[in-house]
This record gives sequence, C-alpha cells and structure tokens, in this order.
Amino acid sequence: SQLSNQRAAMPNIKLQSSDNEIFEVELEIAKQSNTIKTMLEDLSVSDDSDDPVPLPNVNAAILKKVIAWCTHHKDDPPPVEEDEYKERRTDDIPTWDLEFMKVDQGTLFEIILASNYLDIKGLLDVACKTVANMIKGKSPEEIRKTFNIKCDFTAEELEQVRKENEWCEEK
Amino acid sequence: LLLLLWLFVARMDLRQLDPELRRYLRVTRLPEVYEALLAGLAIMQPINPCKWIAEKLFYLQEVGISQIDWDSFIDEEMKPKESPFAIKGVTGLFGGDMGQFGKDIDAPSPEMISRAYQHYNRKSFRRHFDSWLQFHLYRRRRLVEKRRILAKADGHFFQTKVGQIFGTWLEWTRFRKGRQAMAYQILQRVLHVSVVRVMFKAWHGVSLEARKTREYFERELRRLERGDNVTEDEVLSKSTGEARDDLSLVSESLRQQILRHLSLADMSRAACVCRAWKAHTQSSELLHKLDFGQVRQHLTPPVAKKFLAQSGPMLGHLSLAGCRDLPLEVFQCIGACRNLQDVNLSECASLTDDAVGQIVQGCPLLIYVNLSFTGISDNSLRLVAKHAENVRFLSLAGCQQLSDRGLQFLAQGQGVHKLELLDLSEGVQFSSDAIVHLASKCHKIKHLMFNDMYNMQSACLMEVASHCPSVEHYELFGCSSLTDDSFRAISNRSLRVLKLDKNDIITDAAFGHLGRRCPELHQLCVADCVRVTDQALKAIGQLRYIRVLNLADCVRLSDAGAKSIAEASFAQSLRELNLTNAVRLTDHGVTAICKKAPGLTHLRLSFCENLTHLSADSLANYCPGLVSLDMSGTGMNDSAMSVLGSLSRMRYLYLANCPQVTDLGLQKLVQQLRYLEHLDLSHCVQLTDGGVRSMSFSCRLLTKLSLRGCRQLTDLSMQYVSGVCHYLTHLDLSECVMITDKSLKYLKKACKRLQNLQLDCCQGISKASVIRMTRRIPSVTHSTQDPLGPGP
Repeated sequence: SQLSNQRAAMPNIKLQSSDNEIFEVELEIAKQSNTIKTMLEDLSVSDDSDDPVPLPNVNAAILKKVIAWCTHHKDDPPPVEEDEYKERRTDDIPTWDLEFMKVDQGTLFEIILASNYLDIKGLLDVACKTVANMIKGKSPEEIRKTFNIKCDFTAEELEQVRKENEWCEEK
Repeated sequence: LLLLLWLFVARMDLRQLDPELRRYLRVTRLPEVYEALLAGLAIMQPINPCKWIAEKLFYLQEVGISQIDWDSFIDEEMKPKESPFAIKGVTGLFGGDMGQFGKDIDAPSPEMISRAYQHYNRKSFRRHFDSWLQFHLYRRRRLVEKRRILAKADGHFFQTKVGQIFGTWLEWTRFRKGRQAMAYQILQRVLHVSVVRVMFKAWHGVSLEARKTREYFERELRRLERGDNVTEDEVLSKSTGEARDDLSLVSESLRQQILRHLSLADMSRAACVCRAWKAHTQSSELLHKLDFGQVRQHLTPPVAKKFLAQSGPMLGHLSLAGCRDLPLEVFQCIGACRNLQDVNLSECASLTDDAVGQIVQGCPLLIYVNLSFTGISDNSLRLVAKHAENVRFLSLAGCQQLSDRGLQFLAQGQGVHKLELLDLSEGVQFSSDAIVHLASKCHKIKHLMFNDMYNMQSACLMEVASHCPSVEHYELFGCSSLTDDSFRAISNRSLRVLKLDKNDIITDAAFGHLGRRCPELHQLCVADCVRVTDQALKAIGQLRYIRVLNLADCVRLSDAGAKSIAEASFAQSLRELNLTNAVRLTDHGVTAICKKAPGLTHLRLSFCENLTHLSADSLANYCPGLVSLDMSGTGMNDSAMSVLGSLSRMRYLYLANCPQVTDLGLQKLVQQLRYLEHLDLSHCVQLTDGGVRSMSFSCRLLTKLSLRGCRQLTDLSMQYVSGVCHYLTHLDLSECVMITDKSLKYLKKACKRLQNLQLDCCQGISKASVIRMTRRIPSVTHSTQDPLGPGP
C-alpha cells in the first residue's frame, strides 16, 4: 500500500498507442484498466521514470475513446448493493454510455477488443450490451442489414433453419 | 551834420532807392566812405572832428576812393578787430537798425543797457512765458481734450466691442441653442430609433428563436414522418469499409460475452442470419444457460423440449420463471439434463409434485432450487429432500399449498445440513415448531428470508437463531410481531445484512443489541418502525462498516439522531441513507450528516418537511458524490435548485411536491446536470412550458420523467421533450389537463424507447389516440377523471 500511496502522489501517466501517439492521463483514470494496473505493479521500476506505457494492441483513435469513457466513469460509485441473483439486463445501460456508443460498428468492435485487452470490465460490459442490443428484437434480415452480412444458406437450408426458429416470431 | 546826412542816407533803404541812385552809390562807394569816417570817428574820437574829417577827406582825395575800407581812417594802434557797427557792407549799412545808430549816437549808459536788457529780458521772458503759458495751456487743453476724446473713444470702443461681443455671443447662443435643439431632436430621434431597434432586435431574436425551435421540432418531426430518423442503430450499422462480419472476427469468449445478453428468441433469429452465426449460437457455452422466462410469451412446449434436448447434459442454469402453462413432458425433459445446477421454477403455475419429482430425480447436482410462488405440495419437498441432496439455496416463498409436513420432510433430508439459503416468505401457514425443527438441522445456513410472516413470533425466531449461529443475512419484512428480544437472538458476529419493516413493537433496545453484537453489519434496513427514536442511532454508533442505512418512515427521528449518525464510526463509509418522512429533521441535522459522511451517493430525505434550501447548501458543499437524491415534499425553492445544480454527478433526482420551485429554479438546476437520467417534478405546480424547455435541452439523457400534476404544461412542453429526450422510457403526464392528442403524436414519433406512459386524469386526450399508443408502448394508463374531483 505504500507503493500505491507513492503512485497516488504522481498524478499522471503516459500511455502509448500502437501508432505511437502518447496520451497523458491521470493515474486514477488509467487504473480502471486492470491490465495497466497490473503492468504498473509488476514494473514498479518505471514508477518514477517518464516512459510511456506501451499499448501495442490499441490505436490512438480507440485509446482516445477508451480514455474518454474512463474519465467519465472515474468517480462512479460502486453499484448499489443488490441481490446477487439479479436478472441479466441490457436495458440498464446508462444513457451517457448509450450516447458514447453511438459509433460505427468497426469502432464498436475495436472498443470491445481494446477493453478486453485493457481489461476494463465496465466498458467491455457496456460495449457487449450495445452489440447485443443491435441484435435484439430484429428479424434475421434486419440483422443481416445491420451487420452487413450475406446470407450464405442454400434455399433448403434457409427453409429448414427458418422452420426451426419460427417459434419466436410474433403470432 | 555828416551824421545827420548819414542818418538821412542810412534811413533810406537801399532797396527802395532808385536803381540809378543805387548804381551811383555802389560806384562811388559813398556808404563805405561814410562807414570809414564813422568808424574812425567812433574809435578815434578826435577833439575837432571837422578838422579830422577835412584831413581825412584830403587824404581820401589823394589815395582815391577805391582804396577805402571801414578802418582806413583809424590809427594803426587803435584799429579794432571788428567794426564798432554790427552791420557791415552796403546792405547792413543801409538796412541796419536805426536804433543802433541812435544808441551809438546816444551812447546809452550801462544802467540803461542793463535796464533795457532787464526790461527786454523781462519782456521777452514774459513774452516767452506768456507764449509758453499759452502754449502750455493750449497743450493742456489739447491734452484734456485729447483725453476726453480718448475716454470717449475708449467708451465708444468698449461699447462697440461689448456690443459686438454681445452680438456675437447672442448669435453664438442662438446658434448653440439651435444646435442643442437640433441635437436634442437628433438624440430623441436616435433614442427613438434605437429603442425601436432594440425592441425590434429582441422581438427578432425571440421570433427567430421561436422559429428555430419550431423548425427544429418540425424538422425532427418531418424526419420522423419520412422515417429516416437517425437512430443509433443506423449509426452503429454504418460500416467502416468493406463488408465484414465483425462478430465472427472476435474471439469466442468475447462473442459469448455479447451473445449471452440475448434472449432465446433473439438467439433463434440470429441463427437464421448465416452459417457462421448459426454456429455461434450453438456454442456449448451458450447452451449452458437457458432462460425461458424472457421468452415466455412465445415459448411452446415443443420449443422448450427442443432446447432442453439440445442442451442436454450441458445445461447448467435454467430459468422457467413465469412460464405458467408448461405441460409435464417439458419438466420431464428437464429431468434429462443431468448436470443441471440451478433451476428457477418461480411462478410456474403448472408445476406439480410429479414435475418436481422428475426434475430432482434426474438432476442430482442441483444447488439452486427456486420453487417460489408455485402450487407444489408437501410431497414435492419430500422428493426434494430425498433426491436433491446438494441443494444449498432453496426458495419456497409464496407456496401456499405447503404445510408443516413439508418442512418436516425437508428436515429429514440427507443434505439438509448443506442449506445456505432458505426463503419461507409468506409462509404464514407454517407453525413455529416446524420452522424451528427445520432450522435445527441447518447449522450452516447463512441467508434466512421470512418476509411477510406477520405471525412469526419472537420465541420462534429466537430458537431459529439459537440453532443457526452464523446467519449473515436476515430478511424480515413485514414480520410485525417481532420484539426486541428476537433481535438480541439474531444479533451475531457474522450478521451483515438485516432488513425489516412495518414493526411497531421493536424499540431502541433492539438497536442496542445490534450495536453491541454485530460488528460486521453492512446493511441495515429498519423502515416504518414507529418506536425507533434518536437513541437507536446512538446505540449503533460504534458499528464501523454500515454502508446502507434505511430508516424510512421512522417518524420520531430528529436532529439528535442525525448527529448520532454524523458521530458514528460508520459515517465515513456510509453510502446510502434513507431518512424518508423524518418529519422532525431540520437543516441542522442534514448539515451534520453531510459534513461527516462525504461518501454518500444515495440519499433520500423525502417528506422531511422542515428542510429548506440550507440543506441543499450542505449537500452541495459536502457531498459532491451524490448520484441519487430524493428531496420530494421538502421546502426546496429556487435558490436550493441553483445549488443542487452543482452536484454534477447526479443521475437520479426526485423533487416531487416542491411547489416553490419555478421555471427559473429548474433552469438553474439543470444547467450542469447534463447526465440526469431520472427526474421527478411531480406536483411542482409552478412549472410552465419554459421550464420544461430548459430542462429538455439540458437533460438530453433522461430516461424517466414525471411531470404529474404540473397543470400549466401544454403540448409545447411535450414538443420540447420529444424533440430532444429520445431516450425516455418512462413518462408520467397524469393530471396535466392541458395536454392533448398532439403531445402523443410527438411522443410517438420521437420517443421510440418509451415503455411506460401514464396519462391519468388527462381529459384532453382521447381514447382513440391512447389505443394507438398502446400498439407501440407496452404500458399505457389513461383516465379522464377530473383531477380535482373525488378520487377514483
């Protein structure tokens, strides 16, 4: 804990994206990423040095988004104590996050990959829910349109798979 | 004689003489002769002048007349330098003064001369003096005259000058006056013009803004009408480049993290998309968990059976919550899933003992069993006790058919000692003995729920507690018969969560037990217990870890209790506090708490009637982390609104029944609260469309909004709200009597996420449009009663 106290005194940390852009962020913000947190703890030598933390899997544009998310959520209180057996919901995304996730699909998936790599649970969760919400309540054709997918079933296959899954259509 | 002759001659003025005579005189030089004789006589003064003259004339006859000079007859030694006669020459001799000759002749005495001189002198002096005097007087007169004239001139000049200056000044003044009048006119005109311009500008601004607003909303509406409203779906579906299926490109585990948020229905539709997606939906991880509860409307027995068969031994978690009419064969299929660990059969109305038997016999690994709100009988519990030996979490809430026998069966089971959670809520039919008997077998139990067992006796709970020493979590909502003694019994070292309400027996003593014996208490909910006083809070003061404290409807609490909270060891760690209806609480109490509990995130102070804007000041100053705040029914006014506006992390704000709040306050409140998601402004009767306008433009992220009873609101408000707040899911417009069908039109077009719409007592809204709304919005309530009339 003494170590962490020392770090608390050092407010900023530099993060280097895959395309060598350097971002300076508050340590508390960066530490929402478990990956960075672990890195800092393992590499305690780089504590007082000014070297940026390399993040070879995240490009500058996505890192910028991730930092924006972490900045907005840095003061989030811990979740309200609730039953552990709570239903999994996708409509509990904070509205700010809904706005934040209004990006093109490629960026959204890159955010998923980046948050997975950086191990930011909250962001990964929200991004996954956002993708899930894109699928929810849509017909297969709508899903294909949304995700830009070509239907590669043969006619017979399609007929069969449709039959298998027709139960969920509105009656 | 000569002298007389000479006198005679001399008297004649030579110039008056006849020119013949003058020539004669000049040729003969007679005057010179006479002069020489005279000079000789005057100087020599002979005793006998006649003889002297005769001699001299003889001499002259000898010498010739041409040699004569005025001193020729004077002896050498007596010759004077000058002639004794002043006048020399011919002119002098003949033009000279007679007097001199007379004097010469008379030879005036010096006295005479001096007298004459004096006389002359005096005369000349007088004459000179006179003339000088005359001159002087003349000069003086002249001077005086000159001065007079000068003075006159000066006066005239001055007058002229003054006249001139005055004239100029007059002209200038007239000019100035004219200029001033002109300038005044100009200024007045300018003022008039600028006033008009300002008015026009303001009017222009207002009308422009109005037009912009109208256009904005109209544009939004037109876009909605055309159906090309850019929803986030469309943003999201924008592809970055060439067509590629991102979902298939991410790793398996990420894909599962995404897909597990989908219901079975969505999953089935996703399976129809393409081959790859079909494979994704059939991954074993996803088969591990089946939630039929989410798709209960569509679920048919064959489908359920198909899924269960598909998952088979891979099924770990199954929920059938709310699937009311499944036949037995479905439950039989569940029994075929050997590895099932978690089954939720809550509210499965068709669940029979047979079905339970099938399940528990087929699934020996069951750990979680939820049989709440089903019609099972004691026989089911016999089967559960017999077959499901590993059950640790068992919920039997609301199973009205069960009796003491069922609990006895359970108590006899092999695995009963493994139970960690037991929910017997609403089990009023169970006797104390049966409950105690069951409890005596469950030493390891950690969670006990006895909600709504109003007949639960203290003695019973005390015995239960004595058998189960390590319960961490008690839920005793609605157990109204419990006494202080039972609290003494349930207080143990591992207790973390205690919840109860509606108990008017327990007193501060119960808190004394908790305070002394439960050092680990994290969450304490003692709502609606009227005998609880400030002393209770003092009694739990030494607890260190309380994070959630709910004392709603404990009406006796006052500032002393608030101070106890502030001084308690847990104040620093307190995160959630509910003091609803603490009517005696004042601003001092709130300030005390705020100062010592800076970590508060959720705070409810609704209906603490004595609170004023000073409480708001303290909240804003000391509790910057507040996320949720309920100040409904307090004395909040506009100044409180403006300070609460600085709590920028606020997401849920409830300000119902604050009638002092006006549009201005609301505007100040929302300026910084851009992330607000829930806002309750019910019965803030002063609010008008203007307030709603500023609110909707600031709080774009609102999901729940209540404007119930804001009777001044019109359709314009809904135009604003629907124009901006596209995330709305819940909206309450009850008692907004001026709202008409137009509002519904806006909402329908813009607020696509709306799920709950309340329109009670909205007389301006027609049934037909409400019915149209229900097609899209799952829950719409509507009535056309008069809100001021008798209640429903």
